[in-house]
This record gives sequence, C-alpha cells and structure tokens, in this order.
Amino acid sequence: MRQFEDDKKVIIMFLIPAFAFIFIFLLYPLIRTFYNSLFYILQNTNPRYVGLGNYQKLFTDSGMITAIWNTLIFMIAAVLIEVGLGTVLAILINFIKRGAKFFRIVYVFPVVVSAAALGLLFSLIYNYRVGLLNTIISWLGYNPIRWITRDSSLWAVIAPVTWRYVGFYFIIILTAITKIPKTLYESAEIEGANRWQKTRHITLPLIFSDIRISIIIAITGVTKVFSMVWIITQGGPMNSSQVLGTYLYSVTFQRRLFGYGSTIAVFIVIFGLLLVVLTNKLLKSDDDSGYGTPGM
Amino acid sequence: MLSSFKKTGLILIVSVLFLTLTAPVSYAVDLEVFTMFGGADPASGAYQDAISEFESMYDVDINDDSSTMDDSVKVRIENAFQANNEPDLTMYFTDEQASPIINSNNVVSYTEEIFPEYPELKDRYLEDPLEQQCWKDDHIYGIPVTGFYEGLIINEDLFEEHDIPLPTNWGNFITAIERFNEEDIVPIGAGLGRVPHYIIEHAILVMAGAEQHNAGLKDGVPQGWIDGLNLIKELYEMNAFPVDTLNMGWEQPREMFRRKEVAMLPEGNWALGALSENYDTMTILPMPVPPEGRGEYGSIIAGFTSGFYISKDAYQDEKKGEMVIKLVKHLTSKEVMADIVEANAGLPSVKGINVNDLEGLSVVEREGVDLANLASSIVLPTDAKISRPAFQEIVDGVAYIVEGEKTAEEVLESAREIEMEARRGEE
Repeated sequence: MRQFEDDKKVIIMFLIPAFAFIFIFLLYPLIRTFYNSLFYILQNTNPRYVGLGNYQKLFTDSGMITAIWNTLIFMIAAVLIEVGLGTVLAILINFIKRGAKFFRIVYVFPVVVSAAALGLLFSLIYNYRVGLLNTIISWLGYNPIRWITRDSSLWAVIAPVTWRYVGFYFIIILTAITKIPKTLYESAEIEGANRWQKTRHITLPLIFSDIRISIIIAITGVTKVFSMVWIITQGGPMNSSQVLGTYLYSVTFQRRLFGYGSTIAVFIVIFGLLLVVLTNKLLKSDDDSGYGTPGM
Repeated sequence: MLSSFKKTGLILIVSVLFLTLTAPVSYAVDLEVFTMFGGADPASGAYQDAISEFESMYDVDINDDSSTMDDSVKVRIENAFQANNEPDLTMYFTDEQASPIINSNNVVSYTEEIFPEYPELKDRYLEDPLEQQCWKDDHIYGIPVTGFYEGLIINEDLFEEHDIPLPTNWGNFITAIERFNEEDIVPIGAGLGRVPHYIIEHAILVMAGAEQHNAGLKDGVPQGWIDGLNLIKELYEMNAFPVDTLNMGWEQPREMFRRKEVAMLPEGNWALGALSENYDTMTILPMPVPPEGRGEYGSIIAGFTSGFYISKDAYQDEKKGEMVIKLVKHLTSKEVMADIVEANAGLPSVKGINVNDLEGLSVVEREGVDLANLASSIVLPTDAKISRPAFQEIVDGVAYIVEGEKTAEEVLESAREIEMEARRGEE
C-alpha cells in the first residue's frame, strides 16, 4: 500500500508539467476566449459587456451562415475525397508488387509541402492570365476561363485542400492493411475468393476502425482549414468560399472585432466536438458488428 | 584515430570558439524598434543605413523588428501596446487606426512632455504635417516621417501608342476606358473583391467632394458616398476593371500595370517603387471628376498618417530615455529624411528638403510630389475617417454592389450601424 502511495506521488509529479502546459496554452486561452465572447471588443480596447449578444449575432450573420454551410460541404468532400480516395489507393497499392514504393512517395508528397506553398501554387494554376489551366486551354484554341467565380470558388479550394490530405489518410489505411495477417488472405485464396471478395470480406472489415478514426480526423480537420483558402480566395468572391477558419480571421484580424471573433472561436470548438460525437455515434453500430479491429 | 587527449582538446577548442562567436556583446543601451520600413518597402534600404549609422555613433544595439504592414502585423502591434509589451520606438498610423495605441496609455505625449524639453525636435517640422498628427485630445503622440499621396498612375506610352488623350477630364477618362477595351487592354487595374481601397477613396472623393468625404458616417450616410460607390458599379459595368477583379489582391494589378496590360492604376506613392521599370513611360494624375460629382479636379487623397511613437516605459527609463530621443532625432533629421523621401517618393515633413534637389527621384516621382504640393485640397483616406470594422464592411460590400447583389445604400447603412456601435464602445 505504501509502495502504491509513493508511486502515486511520482505519477502526479510527472503529470504536473504536462497538465501545467495544457492548462496554460490550451485551457486558459479557451476559458479566456469564452470570457471575451461575452464582450464587444474593438481592437482589443475598451471591452463592453454584451452578454449573449455576440451569440445571437452569430446566427443572423449571413457571412457566418455561409461559412458554416461551406464547412459542412467541405467536410463531406473531405470524407469522400481524402478518406475515400486514400482508402481506395491504399487497397490498390496493396495489390501491386512492383512500384508500390514509388506510388507511396508520390501520394504522400503533398502532405509534406507547406499549405502556404500549395496555396500559392494553386492560385497561380487558377490565374486568369498566366495560370496553368488557362494556358493549356489557350493552346487548345479556346478562350480563357475565370476559374474562381462565385459558383466555383468553393470547389476551387476544396480540390487542393482535399488533394493535399489524400496521402495522409492513404498512409494510415495502408499501415492498417499491412497489419492484417497474411494467413487470412491465404485461407480465402484456398477457398477460391477473388480480389474483390478478399477486399470486401477481409480488408474492409478489418480496417474499419481505422477508417472511422480517419473520418473523425478529416471532419475535425476541416474546422481548422485556413491557409490554402485564404491564399487562393480569401473566402471570396462575396463570401462564396468562406469557411469557419477564414471567417474567424476576417472578423478578428480584418475587422478587429475581438469579442465577436472569440464567439466564432467558441462556436468552432463546440461545433467540432458535436461533429466528433455525432460521427462516433453514427459509425459505432458498424464497429460493434463483430468484425474486430486490425490491431491484432 | 585521434587519441582521447586530442579529442578532448579538439572539443575544448570548438567549444571555446562557439562560445566566443555566440556570446552576446553587451551594449550600454538596447532599444526595441518597429517601423513599417521592413521587407519590400522601398525605404527599407535607406532606413537600414540610418540605423547602422546610428549604431556606429552610439553605444547602442537596435533590435529592429520592422516589417511591411498587413492585418496580422497591425494586430500584433496593437496587442503589444495593450499588453504593455510595446517596442521602445514604434512607427505606426496616426489616424483613426491609432486608437488602440493611444488608448493603451503607454505612449508619451510629444505636446506635453517631449516638445517642452526638446523644442528643437518640434522646430524642425513643417507646420501642416505636425498639425495633422493632433489626436482627438489635441495632443501629438506620433511625429511624422514622410507623407503619402494617391493618384491615377498612368502608363503614358499606352495612351500615346493608341492615340488616346490622357484622362485629364471625365470625357477623356470615359474615352480611355472605351478605347482600351477595344484594344484588349485593361483600362483600370484594381482588385474589387479584396482590396478596392484606393478606388473607393477616389470614387467617394470625386463624387462627394472634400467636405462630404471628410464627414465620415457618424451623422448619417452622405449622398456623395452613395454616389461614389455607385460610380464604381458604373465603371465595372463598362468593363473598366480586369475580368477577375473580384478575386484579385493589390499585387496583380501592379504586375499587370508593369507588364503594360493595364492603362491606369489608382494607387499611392508607395507603389511607385515597384514600378521603377516603367518610370520613363509613366505619369501620375488626379482622378477626374464626373459632371455630377461634387469634387474638384486636383483635390487628392494625401497626408501624413504615420509617425514615431515613444513608449512611456522607454522614455522614463534612465538609460533608454535619452537614447530613444537621440534615435528619433536621427531618423527625423534632414539628411535621413531626404534619403527616405528619395527612396519612397513620399512627402517630406521636415524643413529644408527641396525635392527638386534630390537626384534619386525620377520624373514621375517628382510629378507625384508636385501633385500633392499643387493639390486644390487634400483629404485623408476613407479609413482614416471611420472605424476599422465599418471600413471593412464597405470594402467587403463593393463586390456585392458591382454584382448588383446589394445597393450602395444598403452597404453604407450597414457600415454606419457598425460605426455607431464602434463609437459607442469608445465612450
């Protein structure tokens, strides 16, 4: 018993620095952000208490509503493209014997390039006069196209952002696939299963929990999307590609409304948590269906 | 293989060398300085030379954090003052944007404390530039460096090549838009979706006139402001702007102007440095006034809206106080000011500088200075008259107005509501 108590002290001693770090750099800013959200603060001066006024404004602000809506579309695209395509590529790469390493590097490469560099690259690709796309179109004898319009801007930013992360989920899923015991596939082969049947009945069920985690990471990641959208469109034209991250920046840094900006930040945290809980609930029943996990 | 003795000796020598090279040199005074003369600013070279010269004159180390301005840098500076973590000397805006700096109560009043003790600092200034620095309480907290002016920068050779008269009146201006459209040249370079600032200021000035332009939004929305924003819509409908104007920043119109794809560029003197390749074929003119406009041809947006703020803590510090004043005197000396004017083509704020004597200035830069000196009236920019969120509402609203999604009245009424809310916060 005495020995256990000593251990407890040691454990607490080791936990304190980490807790202090989390409290100072995460919890305190979060509490402070919530406190600020109850004030009208312009340029960080003369805060004026407005109670829940900023929260009421949140749901009547057309810019915010557009940002929420666009973020939801972004999330669906992130799940389908980032996780979906990442999974498909991982399964396909697992089939091939030669050149797998090359494709692994190619798919993962965009993940290691900075978002700012990719944002700049895509803003040049979309450029009306000197952009890559319009140069190709001109070579083919057609007139140049405005790639970033009110109707297309959201997709113009979804494409590079989701493309960038395909490689990230590809690696997660590929790692999960490689952990599946080869004996399962060999048994299936003896039973006469083809590739599709092996994928459908062995691979997918055994990597499902990894796919679920990937979906949750992809969804929460979208609430943090900022750099590439800001560089390519700044949320425009006319808020058409505004997402929560860019709208938060616009309100806080361009308009200098620190109180309202804090309200948006609090909303993003709650929104992210709600989506994680919801996604977990929606996917939980499948996970409990007896397929097990690949960590065996 | 090296013997252990040799290894130890080698490690010791390397360690001593490393410590010698990296050991901080101690100076009598360390000063933290922030200015807008950083990065690609045309005056950054002249400023760096001035700082190096000052460091060689005194036992001082200047920790220079200068940077070109963007919203994140502005917020960083504003927050530094709010947190009483401000630099010892800061160059920042002195117009409406100075509120967080001055309200922080962390800057010294030149009027009350510095000028009485150092009258020679006040005496070196021209009267107008110094008067423009007066805050709402009649105190001066920031003393100016160089002033700015805005105008219509013209690719003159394009006008000559296509036999189009220069836009010295509204008729010529409209003719130029029509003719350049026919020639597949963009008439006016501006990004209406992201940074329509200069076209907003010009349009409001010519339609509202100086008096209404200066009125701001506190007493209602002036008709001239509505007319100004509607003028931008008219020009947009005439295809006066680039096809992708709604998704452009300020860099692209400048680049297009440099490459002769744009005929006219509403910008300020700070843009001239980036257009140096075109100096021989450029001129700068005031924005022409439409027949229904209340403005006067020759009235321009200009002024002295930035200056040096001295931190209270630094001024009251035994060592720093004297040194920071010496630095301000050095940076606002006639010689340094002349170098900066030569670099950024700005307006000198101190006595004894004749721009005609500055050999480094190009013809177009001299024309720019003349434009300001000969202006029928000078008004400060729109964002110097209204609060930041109200101005941003107008900036964001321009795209909606030109696309017909909102009216100018709607955008300005919304900006006025925001303005009134911001002013309530000040009280």
